[in-house]
Amino acid sequence: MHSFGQANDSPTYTEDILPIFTSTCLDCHGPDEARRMLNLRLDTQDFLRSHIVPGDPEASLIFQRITVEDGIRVMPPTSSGRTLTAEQIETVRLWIVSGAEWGTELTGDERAELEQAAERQVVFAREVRPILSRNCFQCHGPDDQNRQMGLRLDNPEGFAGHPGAFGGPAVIPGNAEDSLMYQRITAEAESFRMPRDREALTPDEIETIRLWINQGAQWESHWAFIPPELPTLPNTSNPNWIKNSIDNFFLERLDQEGLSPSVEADKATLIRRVTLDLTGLPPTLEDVDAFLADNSPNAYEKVIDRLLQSTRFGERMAVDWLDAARYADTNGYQTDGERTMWRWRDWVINAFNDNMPFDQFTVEQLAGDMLPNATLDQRIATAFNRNHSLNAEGGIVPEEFLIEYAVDRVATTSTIWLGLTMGCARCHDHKFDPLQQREFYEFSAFFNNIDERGKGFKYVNSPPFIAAPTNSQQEQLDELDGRLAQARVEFAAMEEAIELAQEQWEDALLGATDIDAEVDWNLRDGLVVHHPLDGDISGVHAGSLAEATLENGLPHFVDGRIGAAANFDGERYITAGTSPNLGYENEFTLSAWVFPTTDTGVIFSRANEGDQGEVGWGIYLEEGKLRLNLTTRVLDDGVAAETIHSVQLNRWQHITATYDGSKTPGGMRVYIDGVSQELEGLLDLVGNRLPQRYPLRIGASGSSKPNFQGNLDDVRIYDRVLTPEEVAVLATVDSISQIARIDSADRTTAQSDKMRLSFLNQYASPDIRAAYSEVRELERERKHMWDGFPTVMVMEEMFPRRPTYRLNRGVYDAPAEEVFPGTPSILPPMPDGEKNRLTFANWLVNPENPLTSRVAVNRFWQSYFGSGLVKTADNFGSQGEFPSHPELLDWLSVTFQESGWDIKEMQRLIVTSATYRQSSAVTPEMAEMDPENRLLSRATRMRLPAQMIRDQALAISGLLTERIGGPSVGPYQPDGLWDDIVERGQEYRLSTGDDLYRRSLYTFWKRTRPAPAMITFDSSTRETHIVSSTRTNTPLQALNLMNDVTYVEAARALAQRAMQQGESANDSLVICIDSPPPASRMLMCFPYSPVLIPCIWKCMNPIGQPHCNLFQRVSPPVMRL
Amino acid sequence: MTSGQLSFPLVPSVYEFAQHGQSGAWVSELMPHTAKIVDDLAFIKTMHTEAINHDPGITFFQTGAQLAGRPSIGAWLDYGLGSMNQDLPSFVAMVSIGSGNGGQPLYDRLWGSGFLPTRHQGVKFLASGDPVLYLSNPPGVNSSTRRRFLDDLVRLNELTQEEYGDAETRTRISQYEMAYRMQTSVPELNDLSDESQATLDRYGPDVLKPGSFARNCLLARRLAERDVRFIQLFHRGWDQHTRLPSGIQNQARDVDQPQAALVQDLKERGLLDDTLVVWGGEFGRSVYCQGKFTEEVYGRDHHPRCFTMWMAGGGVKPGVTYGETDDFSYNIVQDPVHVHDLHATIFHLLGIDHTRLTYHYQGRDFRLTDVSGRIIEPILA
Repeated sequence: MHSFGQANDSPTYTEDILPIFTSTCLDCHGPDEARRMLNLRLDTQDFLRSHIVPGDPEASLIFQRITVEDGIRVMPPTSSGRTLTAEQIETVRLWIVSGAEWGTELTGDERAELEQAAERQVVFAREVRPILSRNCFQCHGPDDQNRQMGLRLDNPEGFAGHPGAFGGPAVIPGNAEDSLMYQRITAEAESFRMPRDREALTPDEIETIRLWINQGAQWESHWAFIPPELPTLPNTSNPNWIKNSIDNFFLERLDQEGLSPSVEADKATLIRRVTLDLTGLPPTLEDVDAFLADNSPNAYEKVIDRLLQSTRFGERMAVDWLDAARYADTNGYQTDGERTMWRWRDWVINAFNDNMPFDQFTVEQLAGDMLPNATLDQRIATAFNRNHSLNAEGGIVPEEFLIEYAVDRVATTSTIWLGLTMGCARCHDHKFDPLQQREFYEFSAFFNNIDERGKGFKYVNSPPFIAAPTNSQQEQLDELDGRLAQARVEFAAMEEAIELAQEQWEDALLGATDIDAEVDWNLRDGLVVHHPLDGDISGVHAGSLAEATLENGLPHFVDGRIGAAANFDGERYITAGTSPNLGYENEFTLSAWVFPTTDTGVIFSRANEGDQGEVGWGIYLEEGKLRLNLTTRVLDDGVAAETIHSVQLNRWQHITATYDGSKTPGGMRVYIDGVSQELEGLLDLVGNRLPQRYPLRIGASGSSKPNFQGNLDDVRIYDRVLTPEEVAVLATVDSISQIARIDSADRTTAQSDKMRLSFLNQYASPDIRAAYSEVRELERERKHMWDGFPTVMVMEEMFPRRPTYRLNRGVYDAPAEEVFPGTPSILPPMPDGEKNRLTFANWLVNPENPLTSRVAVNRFWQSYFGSGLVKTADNFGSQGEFPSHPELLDWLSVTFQESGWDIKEMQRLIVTSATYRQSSAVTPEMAEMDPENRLLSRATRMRLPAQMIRDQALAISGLLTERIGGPSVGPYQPDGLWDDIVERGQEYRLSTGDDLYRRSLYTFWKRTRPAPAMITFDSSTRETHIVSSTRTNTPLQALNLMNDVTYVEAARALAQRAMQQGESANDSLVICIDSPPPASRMLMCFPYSPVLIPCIWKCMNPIGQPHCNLFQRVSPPVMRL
Repeated sequence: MTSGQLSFPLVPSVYEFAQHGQSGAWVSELMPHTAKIVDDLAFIKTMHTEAINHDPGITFFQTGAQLAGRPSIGAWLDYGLGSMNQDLPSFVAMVSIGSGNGGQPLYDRLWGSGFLPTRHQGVKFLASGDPVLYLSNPPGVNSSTRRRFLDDLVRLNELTQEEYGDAETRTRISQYEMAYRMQTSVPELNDLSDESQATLDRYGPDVLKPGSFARNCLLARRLAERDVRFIQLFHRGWDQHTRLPSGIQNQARDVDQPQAALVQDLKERGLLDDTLVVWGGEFGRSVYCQGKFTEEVYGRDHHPRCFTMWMAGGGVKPGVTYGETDDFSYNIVQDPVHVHDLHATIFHLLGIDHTRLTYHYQGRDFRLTDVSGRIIEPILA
């Protein structure tokens, strides 16, 4: 090559120009097809014809582009970091002026050298790893158990170090042809070619691997496991376009691709877009007018401030989070009964509205219960990991589902915070990511240490759950507690007077010698059934006389414990009406004096023989043990417990059984002679309801159980749980006159209690009794109030901790070695010390964790642009997509952390970027170069999410009821939609009044049959966690929008609004779509109204025929531009 | 549910079984009509499944996995084969309520699309109200009004298309048009006036009752005639834990005549050659008694270890019985057929390699048959 400039020597392409182009242009316009931009190739003669006018540099496109002065079109692009010197430009000019001669053709070697020089540099993480992951890792990856030939390709040792079954390492850096890997992927014989039994790699993929090996086979860790660092902002061609740092990254990439950003969307479009995106509702007419009229430079920023302050923001943000957290109002699975988790849903809304930092948002939901002095709200937050489905089907193996619940928590937590598909490592080592099966179970050990039920309750929350009063309920409670405390103080102040009065009363009792003056008292508070059996079998039920019938014989009475007692011979028994109804959820106390002569027999019951054993409730003697039994099916549906010790035969004993409505044996207490007994739980599988059809039988049940033999006396049922003290009093047979004769120091506690209770309830002066009953009344009121509070299922630690085992093949009954809580070794270790849910949650949001922040900002991103920077928002592992803009992702994630995890600031950052504000119109060039809009040379035009479509129709029609939180509501849905799926009592409850028009996130969510208006528009079913959804277009959507009563009503309401308020057609349209003319834009939305349709046609299409049908509608707007 | 039961008395059926047809297949006296077509059927007596409860069992049968989240068979087929019909959905599900006791709910996920795009989900046809949700125009809007509305909408959407250049707008236009066609095609499908009396009689008296299994069988034939790809009929009420003798009698009466009629009707119309009929449930029932046991009253628990299904048409060898259980019908002794095997076979008969119809989700290529599935060659024609 000679020096140019000698007078007679015209420059030629091969000698003078090619060296310049090689160093600056051929990377993108050279021999490499994969990297070539705009199909322009500057190293062959073809371009001379189309881009060069020999003799006229000014007319030659190449020369124009290297000399243009604006920063956007100049070549090479600013962002490439390459420039042409003035001298080089002059050489090009001279070459064209002199006729643009080609010169001597290059030799083969020269051309090879040239291609080498222009060869693209392969980036392992972006280009090679995905090929390996997709095609090779399944057999040559992290899965130790199934690795083929010992060859591992997901770590650097595997490549170079592997001796290979065929000799030599898999890869010889710098020498693709001799590398086994390259030989095997290019082998012609299918038996030899890799990947085995799968399609061969494409030529592009093979070329990428060849280049990578030849370029030295540099190995890099998977990008997502390397902690992000704050990248420097790239320089770009057009600093004026940039609104914030996000734009630098986008513009740099657009520059590289030779694309330009779109113009900013018009203001009307922009305010509708950002209002929908940040609040889920469209702007009002006033909002639009104000924005259009505001010409200040920060008009847009002011709108953002307003929207971020709106409480609608929290509702909008909550929708995506509810999908991710698989929130629902039913338990899922077979019967899909109702649960109550809305207090958690409201917690989420409030957290977003309060701008709770994301790290706190994380820790409270995962481990709020373990924070020091955890508040009610912090405990409610942990419902996050109780949102999963809960199986209540009869016959399931509870242990199996305990595993499923822990697995669900692992999968959900790892997807949402780490973007890892940990669920894949349940049965075997992960096939693609370095996650071992053992690590899966170590991870699960954080989430299974909870005293929960494998078989859940069918219709209500399953333990552990807590009462979760709302703020206003808490205020009512506080007020009541104030009154209760006051009443207690007032009562306590009377203590001395009471003692004195009681002494005087007891003295008076002693003084009475007349036998008629013998007095007694018994506990009547909550007494609903009482059969004294004193020579008469009838009783008092709920305050009224209740007739009873003696079956199988004649009444026979003997001396009793209190007066007479009824004698039972194993044949005769008493029936006495069909009350009270005692179900699994009711509190009650059963008691009687018993004198058994055999060790087995029914004391009293409301039960019958069913197809599968006894159905109903009862208290029995079973081989001497005292048993309280509530069963729907004897084997697997009910709750029962019995005493460890036996009662004594042929002796009077007082028995009491209490049940607190908790549906577990733990809620049962049994007393003999006032002494609490140790119990053994026999059945803990409540599912269905307890039938209430059978008569109250004393001494028998309707089943095959033997009737009672012996004597029974003083049968009682209370509708509350008696305290141990009260039970002891009940078991105290001595009358108060008798006790009065005992010196107070010699009385038993029960005797003293009986004296005191009878005095306070019955014999004290009115002022004492009033003070006493005031306290009792308020206590009752408090309990009633408390029982009425919504509950929410929460996480709670269990001690001792539940052991965790690795499960062979992931099966519940195949435990292998025990494992302990731990995090995957591929991630930074947890600090030393205790490993539990709380330390785990703190570890997640530790700045060293490379994933949490990236995964979170990526999810935010996708809600504004339709797709995340990593498109696979649920998978940042090896099989996930390499980020479209890796530096931006890192910049955002570091910025998010450094802002103190400020969620609102992150949203503000995104929506104030120029990238976000672009128009969404698509040019054919964009459609061809970037059909999915991953480069964001335009904003993304998106169909609205399901909830937003409905909410918007409600808003623009004026029907929307805005009220935050509360129990879920039942808006319109087709009649009978649930009929074939629900059990009695679980039917759809259509709301009334303004609850019909609440925002869609408050719609009752039934997992096995979600609202069609949601599911038809691609909402998640909430059966599993979903962090990104597809958006489809189906005829069912069209039918829904055309014919659902919700939209018909909205149309009518909007029409009325337009007519009554006399709004111009234009204004009405603006209400709908927030866009003034030109009509073409507004029209994609619709007129709901008879007034509007002709107007639309007039302004849009002068030759169109107007149609004016009452309440005719076009179509609700489903797009956001 | 019977795991805690103290004894497991074996209970023979109170109903007689006899051999029928040239193939000599054994059929209960409760299925007299089906007994007449046994030479068209291929029986698999050795089905077995992994689930013992309804929800995981039927979810496994429909989606190849016991837990929610995967696509149903019909969704896979729609994804793999696409639609042959411009006026009706390509995957239709219908549910009828049985006369026996013990109906179990059927959840939307059984015909759902799981992680596939929701356009592949089955459309449930309903017996009361709108046959397809939101099919009918609201009061005051008739078909011509609706047509004019759609014409307007097309023009509006075309303007949008011009301005924004988004190809999805074209899809939206076509979906609205299909919705409009469904407003005609679905009522037409449900209108049986063009069926002969002989045809109606063949399906039995219940065919006149909307929502009956008989009606759904006839509708299934009409859908098959209209090239709807995948039609699934669910009939509830087979859960006889107790009182089986009366319950099973009623259930069998519900289905026997219509199902036999469906196969014959398809055959006579030349549709059976390219229509595959599959019949079965999510698991079998125990040979021992559950609950109360008298001569007339007994129940049976779920039994996943062996049960029977049949298939007909669509490339299945007629008149064969495959597989053998032990003398107590408790375990399989020869030729077990797992649910994955059945799925693989169904796909094979529909021209699909079950190992290659995959969908990439959460980093993995999922398929209906997970990592197994073996085609049951001996029952192929």
